[in-house]
Amino acid sequence: MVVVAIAGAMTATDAHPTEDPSCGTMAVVMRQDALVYRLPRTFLRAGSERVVSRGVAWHAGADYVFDFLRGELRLLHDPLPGDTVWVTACGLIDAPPLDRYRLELRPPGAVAATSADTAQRVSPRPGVSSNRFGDVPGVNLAVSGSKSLAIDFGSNQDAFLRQSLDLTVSGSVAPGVELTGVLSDRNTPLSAEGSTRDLQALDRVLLELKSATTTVQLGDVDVAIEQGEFGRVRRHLQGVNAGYQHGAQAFRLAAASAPGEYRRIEFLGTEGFQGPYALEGLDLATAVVRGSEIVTLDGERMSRGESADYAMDYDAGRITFTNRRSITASSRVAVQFQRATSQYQRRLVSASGRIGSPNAFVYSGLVSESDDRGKPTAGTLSALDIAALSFAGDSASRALVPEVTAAGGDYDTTRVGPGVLTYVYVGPAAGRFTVPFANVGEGNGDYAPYPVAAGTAYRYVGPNLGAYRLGRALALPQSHQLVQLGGGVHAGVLSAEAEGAVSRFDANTFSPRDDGNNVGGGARARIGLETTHRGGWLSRAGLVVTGRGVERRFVPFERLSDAFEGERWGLARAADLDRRREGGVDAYVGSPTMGELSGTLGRLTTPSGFDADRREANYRRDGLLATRATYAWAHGRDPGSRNPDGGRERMSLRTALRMKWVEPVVTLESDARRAPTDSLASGTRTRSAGLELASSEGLLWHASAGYELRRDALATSGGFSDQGETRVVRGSLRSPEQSAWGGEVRLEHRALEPLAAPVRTRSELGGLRLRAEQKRTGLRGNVDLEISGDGESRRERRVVLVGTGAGSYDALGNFVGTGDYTVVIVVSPQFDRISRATTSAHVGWEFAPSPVWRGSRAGFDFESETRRRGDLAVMDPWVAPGVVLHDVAFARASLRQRFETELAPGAKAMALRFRLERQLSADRAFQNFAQTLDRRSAALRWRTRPGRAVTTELEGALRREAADQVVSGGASRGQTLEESSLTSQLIVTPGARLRTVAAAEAVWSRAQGARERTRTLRIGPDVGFDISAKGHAELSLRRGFIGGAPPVSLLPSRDPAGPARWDASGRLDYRVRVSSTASATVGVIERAGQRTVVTGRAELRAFF
Amino acid sequence: MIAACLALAVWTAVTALPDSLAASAPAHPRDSLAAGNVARLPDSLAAGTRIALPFELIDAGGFAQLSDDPARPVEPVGLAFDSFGRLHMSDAALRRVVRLNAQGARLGESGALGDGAGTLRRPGSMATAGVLAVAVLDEENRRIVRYDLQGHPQGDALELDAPLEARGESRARPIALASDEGGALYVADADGDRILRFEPSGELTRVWGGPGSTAGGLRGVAGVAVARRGEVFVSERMPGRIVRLEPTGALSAEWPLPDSVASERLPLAVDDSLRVACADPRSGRLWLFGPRGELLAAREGLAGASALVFTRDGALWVALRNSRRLVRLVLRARAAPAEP
Repeated sequence: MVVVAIAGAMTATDAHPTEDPSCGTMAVVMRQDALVYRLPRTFLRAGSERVVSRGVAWHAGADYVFDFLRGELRLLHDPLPGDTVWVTACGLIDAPPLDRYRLELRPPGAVAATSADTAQRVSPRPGVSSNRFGDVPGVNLAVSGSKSLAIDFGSNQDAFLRQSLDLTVSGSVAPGVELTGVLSDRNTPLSAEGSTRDLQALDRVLLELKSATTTVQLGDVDVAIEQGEFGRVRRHLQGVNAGYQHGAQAFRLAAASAPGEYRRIEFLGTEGFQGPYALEGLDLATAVVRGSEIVTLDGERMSRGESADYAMDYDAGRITFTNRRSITASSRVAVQFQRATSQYQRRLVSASGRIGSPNAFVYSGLVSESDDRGKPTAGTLSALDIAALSFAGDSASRALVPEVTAAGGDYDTTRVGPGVLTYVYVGPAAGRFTVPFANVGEGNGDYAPYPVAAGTAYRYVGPNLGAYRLGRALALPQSHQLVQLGGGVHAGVLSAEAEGAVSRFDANTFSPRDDGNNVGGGARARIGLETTHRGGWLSRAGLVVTGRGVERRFVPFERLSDAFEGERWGLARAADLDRRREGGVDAYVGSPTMGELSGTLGRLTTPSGFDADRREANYRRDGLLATRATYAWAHGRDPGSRNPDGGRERMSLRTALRMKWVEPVVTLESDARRAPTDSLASGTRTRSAGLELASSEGLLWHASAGYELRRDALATSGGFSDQGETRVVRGSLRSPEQSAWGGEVRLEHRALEPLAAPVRTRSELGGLRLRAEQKRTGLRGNVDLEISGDGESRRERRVVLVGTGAGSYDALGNFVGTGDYTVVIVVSPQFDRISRATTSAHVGWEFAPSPVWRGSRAGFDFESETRRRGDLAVMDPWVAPGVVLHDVAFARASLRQRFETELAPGAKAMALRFRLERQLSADRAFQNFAQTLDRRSAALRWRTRPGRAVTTELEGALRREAADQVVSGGASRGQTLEESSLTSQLIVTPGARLRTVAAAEAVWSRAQGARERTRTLRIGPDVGFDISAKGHAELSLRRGFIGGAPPVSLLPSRDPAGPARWDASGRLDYRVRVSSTASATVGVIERAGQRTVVTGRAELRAFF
Repeated sequence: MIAACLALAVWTAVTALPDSLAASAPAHPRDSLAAGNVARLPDSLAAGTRIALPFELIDAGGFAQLSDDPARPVEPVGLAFDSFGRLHMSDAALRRVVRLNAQGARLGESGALGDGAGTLRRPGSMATAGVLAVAVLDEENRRIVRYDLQGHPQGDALELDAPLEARGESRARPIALASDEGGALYVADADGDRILRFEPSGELTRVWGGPGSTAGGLRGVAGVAVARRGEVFVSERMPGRIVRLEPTGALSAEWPLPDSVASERLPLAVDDSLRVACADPRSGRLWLFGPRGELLAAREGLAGASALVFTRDGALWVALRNSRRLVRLVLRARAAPAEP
């Protein structure tokens, strides 16, 4: 029994599998933001691993990558946070450490450190990842980008080095802390050491660090303080911006360079004119900082975008509204922007904070913006300049440096009275003196400008009778600081809020003069008694008392008054209402059934002497019958004006009946404004009535139609006099987007009929978008149409004779490299009103009657754009070719008609493509020059695949191209070319590493009317082949033959007509490593009678 | 030469036309795979039998709030995510490029119908252009328009025809756009079966492909994508193939699509691990392949897929032209959990 038991036990022991002590299973719990996990074991055996999660075995290379030496697992797809990955692997039982150090005895006092070559290091782990910190919990930082270095060379150019760097760093640097950074450096010249000089030489750096409570941005940042009213500032700058927010506590700190100066302008629109509107006050050379603008139209914030509300030309400082925002004579536009100019390097530092609780809050802000007076953006300041600035005080008109030089110039001296020596213009380089003049404002100077042939000259007009003085104007370095403190409490129905601010503005930091008025302050307070109830007849009621006082010396960073606030108070639009004393009472009472009634009383006085009163009442009710009614009255006085009284009276009513299917809306409005003035009566009155029918919001289809009648009047001494009557008809229809066919149409027609003013305009704005698709038959079509209006500067193209070979243009202004003429473009500030119609239509059919025809298609495209001076013509959206060529009212027009079909693209024997196309363009944007182009072509391509390795392609084409150029009262030129061509390619790819092409092209062309044709033939091979496993080379050679008449081009150009005699190119690419590629290209062109041109490039490109 | 081509073509037409017209579908690319190229398409899948793929693509939402937003896409055809996670989307119907933040809120838009600066006539696919700009393919105007990350047009538009004419090449019919990490732009030309590479400066520096069904030739180019280290992936239609080219231009791998596709466009996307996603807008199928063609996952019901893009977190975004939606797909292991 015992023996049997022992034998049984031994047998059982033998049957049980023996565990390999070198193998084991390790558990890895996946984390949200980590792709690389360090296992507890190292020195694992390659291929021994088995990775399992959720019972599914993962695949090496597809799901993960293993670093057997270091025991690292890298996921190739998203981790599932919390899930466990089971890793079974075999390896060394007692693995040695990954790092080894050889210790050396270093006697005390020994100076030399361990030499690098004596320290043995473990080589860096294989580059399976850009993740450098995978073993640190929460850190998962990826670096990607590209670096290239290239040398361009050629027989006609010097060799030069180009480089570029694009770098992105992204990921988490700590648990919950996300970092994103980009760096771009393009074509920055390299220093002798081979690196860019400093960070400022780089194009752009943007960095963003985010956590749940903290945000840090570096690069282009938006600096904004929007708490309270006195310390508000919004800037688009380059610098650092950091913020912290936790609950009701928020702090923000920013330091940045301030490119430009803050501006806000307000202007009224022109009836039916969408723009461009120039931002007044901008010099031609002054641009607007991109993205810095805030545009409001009638108080509503606009969005930038050609398909949104407006488009901005930042370089020219112009704004154009899209056809979605029709501009009328009563449209009030306000644009806040930064000018991209500054005389000194300017810095801005801001700090703000807010601490709150459920019943109280306190906030504070500090902003400092100052010029670095030691760093003018242009040149440096001399001792004389600094002395002039020191004595100038805050007056720019005194910051002049007299710099009359007696080394010859345009001026001489003359004596106009006893002891009064003045300068007089005598002609270009005809005088003894060079004299600068500076604008110091009307009535502050002694000289006045007048035009001369060479530009502008200045003449003496008497003391303080002109706007110019002798001397060079110096810019004043400014310094501006503002501190604000505010807070509020809330207890039951009672709430109170107060804010105070102090500013310091020094207009000239060089000069202690006039510094006594640098400091000013402002304060405001608000006390409210407000209540809300969810039930009952009274839903909300309140009484709010406000007061505000701003000193004359207080200088805010942004305007404190709203756009067009002067009109609201019955004062002039340009009145300075930032500094004022104002008190007001607001009261409101609302009921769920009866609506809400509110009223306002206000009074205002300003340090400059204005005072005004204002009353306003509003009624608002929602429901089946929705009503908005407003009555506003204001009376303003300017004691300093001859007609001191101004005022405003506005009444408006908008009533909508919200029925199930349709919502009729009636609007009535009367708005009369008068402003105090020194001259004749100043004021406008607008009266309008409108009716609109719209479908209910709940319907799938949306339709609306409206009619509006408006009368605009100007104030006269006897009352208001009607000037014009505007009728507006608008309609729109939109189908559900989910259906197979449908679209949207909207149209607005606006007609201004003159009553007193001789202005008559008509404008159309609108768009059409139709589409239809039938999947069963493969038919598809769409039509898009946009109608809008804008303005275009009048331009003239002057072709000036400069002598034989001294210019670069011919007599018609074509660039020919070496010519007798030069071209001068003269742009007038005047605009022509342009009506623009753009159309895009496509009809397509995809068909496959049998499998071999799969992929076949046919389609017709119609694309046009017309810009007509004046009113739109009915057929402009569907303009005919003859109209494009001959209608001189088009400033620009283009038209493209194309029929294209592709038959059996997958067939072996008969893959055909046929294209019939006509393109026309007319350019009459210049007042004195017109050019039209008419290109027609027909092409048939035939592809075959006789064998697996052989493809042939034959293409025949017919082309006719005509060009006409006309200079008003001058030369003209017309050229028509007729061309037929046949091209062929025989492509043979005998293996995966070789591709050969034999190409031939024959062209017959002639100018219309010419008897003899030009015959051109180009033949040659292309070869592409691999070199070892990492390289690839491509060679191309063409030999051109020209016979018959000499080739001519459609328009005169610098480039010679016809093909080169020899045209060869070669390229070699070699993948040095997985992430880097080296390449070299060489091209050779040889033309009969000309120097052979060789160009090339060697480039090294690395991705990381 | 022309006569030889003509003779060869006629001979092909005479000998192959009856077969070609009589044959059913063109040969599947599996038949023409070169030895050594890894294309592990299971026969069972090609025959229409369902097999278990290791992964599945899960619909993880997208921007649901877009349906009520002014940025609601009418015909989304291009997607690009910039370095800061903002989405730039081109809308072919409205002729505009819309910018959305990482949460899907509208930041702004650019473009309108037209030929001039800042306007688009038929916007198509999008790609990043370096780290500070995005590019959109303006197909009908035959140019590439670049915008900075705030939506302002950057420099002059990159005209496609002019550099091709200067090289004596035929003009292109651009249908897809991709970019590499250095900002070079890759244009898929359906007419010439080529891939054109333009440097950030606008210079045309490389032309890949040309007609041909094997080796370096391309046939029926329908999409392009570029991996982070410069590998170029090209999708072909008729009958359907994906070609992987080395940055040098050498053929690295090719594999057939599981279905023969005739769609004119087959949008492609590739992630940092060289996984390739390809969609057939006509059948509504989307496939995810490994770096050398092994099929990892597939999904149906994505009819009208017009653009694909991988984001930094590994999610795959799909623009659906028909249903006017943006879908976010994430990759998940398919099997049920069972710990060892």
